[in-house]
Amino acid sequence: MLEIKNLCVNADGKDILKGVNLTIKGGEVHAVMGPNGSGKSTLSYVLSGRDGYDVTDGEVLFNGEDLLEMSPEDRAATGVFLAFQYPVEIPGVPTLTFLKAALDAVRKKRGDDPLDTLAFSKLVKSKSSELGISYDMLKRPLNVGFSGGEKKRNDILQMSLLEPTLCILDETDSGLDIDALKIVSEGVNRLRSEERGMLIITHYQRLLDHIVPDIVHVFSGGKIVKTGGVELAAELEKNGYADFVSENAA
Amino acid sequence: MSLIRHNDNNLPEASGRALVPYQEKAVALLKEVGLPSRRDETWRPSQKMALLSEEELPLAEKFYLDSVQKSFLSDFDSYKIIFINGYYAENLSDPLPEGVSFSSLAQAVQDRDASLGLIDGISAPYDQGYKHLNSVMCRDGAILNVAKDTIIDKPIHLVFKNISEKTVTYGRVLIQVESNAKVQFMAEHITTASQHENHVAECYIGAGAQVSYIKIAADMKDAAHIGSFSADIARDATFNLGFYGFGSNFCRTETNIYLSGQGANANFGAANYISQTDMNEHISTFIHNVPHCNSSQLFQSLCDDRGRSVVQSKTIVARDAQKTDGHQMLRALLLSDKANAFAKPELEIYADDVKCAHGSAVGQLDADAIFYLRARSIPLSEAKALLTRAFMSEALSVIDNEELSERLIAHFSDTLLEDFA
Repeated sequence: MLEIKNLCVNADGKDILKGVNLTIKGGEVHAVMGPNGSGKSTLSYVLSGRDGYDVTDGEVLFNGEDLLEMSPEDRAATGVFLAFQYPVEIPGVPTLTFLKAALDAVRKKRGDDPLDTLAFSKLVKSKSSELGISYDMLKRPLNVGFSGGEKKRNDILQMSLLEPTLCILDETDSGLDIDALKIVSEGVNRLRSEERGMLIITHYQRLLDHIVPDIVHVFSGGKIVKTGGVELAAELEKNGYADFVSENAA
Repeated sequence: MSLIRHNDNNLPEASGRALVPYQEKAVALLKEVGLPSRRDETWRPSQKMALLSEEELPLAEKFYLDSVQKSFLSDFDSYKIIFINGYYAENLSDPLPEGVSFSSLAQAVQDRDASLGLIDGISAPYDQGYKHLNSVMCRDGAILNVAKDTIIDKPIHLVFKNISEKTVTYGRVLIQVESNAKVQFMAEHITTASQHENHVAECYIGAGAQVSYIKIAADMKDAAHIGSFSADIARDATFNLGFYGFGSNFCRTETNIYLSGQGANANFGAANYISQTDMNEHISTFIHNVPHCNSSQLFQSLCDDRGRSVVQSKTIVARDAQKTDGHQMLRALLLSDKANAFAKPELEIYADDVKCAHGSAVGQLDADAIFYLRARSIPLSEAKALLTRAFMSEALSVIDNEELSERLIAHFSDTLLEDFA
């Protein structure tokens, strides 16, 4: 599904990613763990097409297509979804209006007609109740005045509505208390399926107690320095990143 | 050169009225018969055939079609009063509800109507040359009175349609709303030709009345519009004023609002989309003459291409106007490097116990917000339209009619989407 080959990225004249190799197959959940400043979030932004990053080498194939050639909206419509570390507040745009515009765009890409208002509101109501989001909240401007937990739940609601095939979760646990973490994780777990790959970027192991990955990668100095099973996360929690940071520096 | 001048100001006043019922037939006849040529026996000896133009024929048809053409608000549920090139078109207009009296300005002049004495009666110290020019040149307009305690169920919708090329039209509105009446006015300015419209509106708002006046200047690409608006607001009355422009080559509005009775409220919201080489100007003065009045002014200008916005707003608080609450906020969003915004909010305060504030902000679209929307499959053009629409919609809060608000915002979105595509 996703093949990242020797990805090198420069931002503001600084090399951030220095040869990332990663392959995610349908149904797999990969976790990327690493210390602050190691380039984890850059990887998520480059995959989703944010401006300001210069790919100096390597390639990214998504279902065989060159992902880096696509605009952010085309990537999203093709099935790449980024759950943001800090979902953006957008005053004046009601959440429902935004959800409808996004769903219509994805459906258009898939060759489906837009949902009528009734079908749309029925769908949103059922998905939002699973995540404990009140329908009234969705009438408010997007993320404006939402708590940290509400913003993250809103992002997961978008994920469940748009049904992407690759979900990238960037520090989804940041700013969540334990109850919110549970709700968000359950929402993500519901979306695990044979057709869907996931890339979970996180700093701490605690998220991985709730969303158990198949493969864990340690990210340091702009690349993956170690890959292992879920036990690697536990090891990191115990020993910290110091071994990998110095290993990489050497 | 044509013998026929397409300037209705040269026609007798009555010709602007009751044209339409036979116009349709006349257009068909004109097409069938055509304009005369030398083949017509009676024209054969004429020496001046060169002065007649074949252009008159398509122009006549265009004139008729433009006069009956629908706008995005044509089917709005309202009481319509229609003016073509500044002249009242009775046959295109609706009957008005009980409690509202209407006279065309031409008729009022003929009848020596006493309310004519109110013309130019509000903002004399601030009036500028173009308003005086209108007072000299204007031949028709609307004189409206809403009787006290009357509540009007749907908006009174003044439509000013200017359809002749290279002319100047002078429109005029005089409104008196008596005490405790409740009414919404919509003023829709439509210009389909390269044209100059000079328009003046004056409103007297009685004690305790609740009135809104929403001016919409839409799709006026080649037109220039100079407007003067003034209102005098009596005790405990509330007046909401909204100006919304979707583009005209040059649009300038001078607004003077007098809060003359204690407890009066005035709220002004203006949103303008200024693109290409267009220019939009608001010169607005709110004058608090008595204590305990509230006013707010909010300007949202969206400038693209080489569009330029000029907003100069002022709140004047007289020495006796204690406990005044007056706010001004001027915002501009620049979508291109060549777009330009000038903002000058001012306060002139002579009282010592007031709450007044003014602010101004000029910025660009938030790149993070655009990326967030694009990362959810929303195309760039649509993302920009969503964000700019959100920016403009704040200034629509003065509209106390949900359907009108929705129609306006939808029309705005369509225009923006088309331009951003």
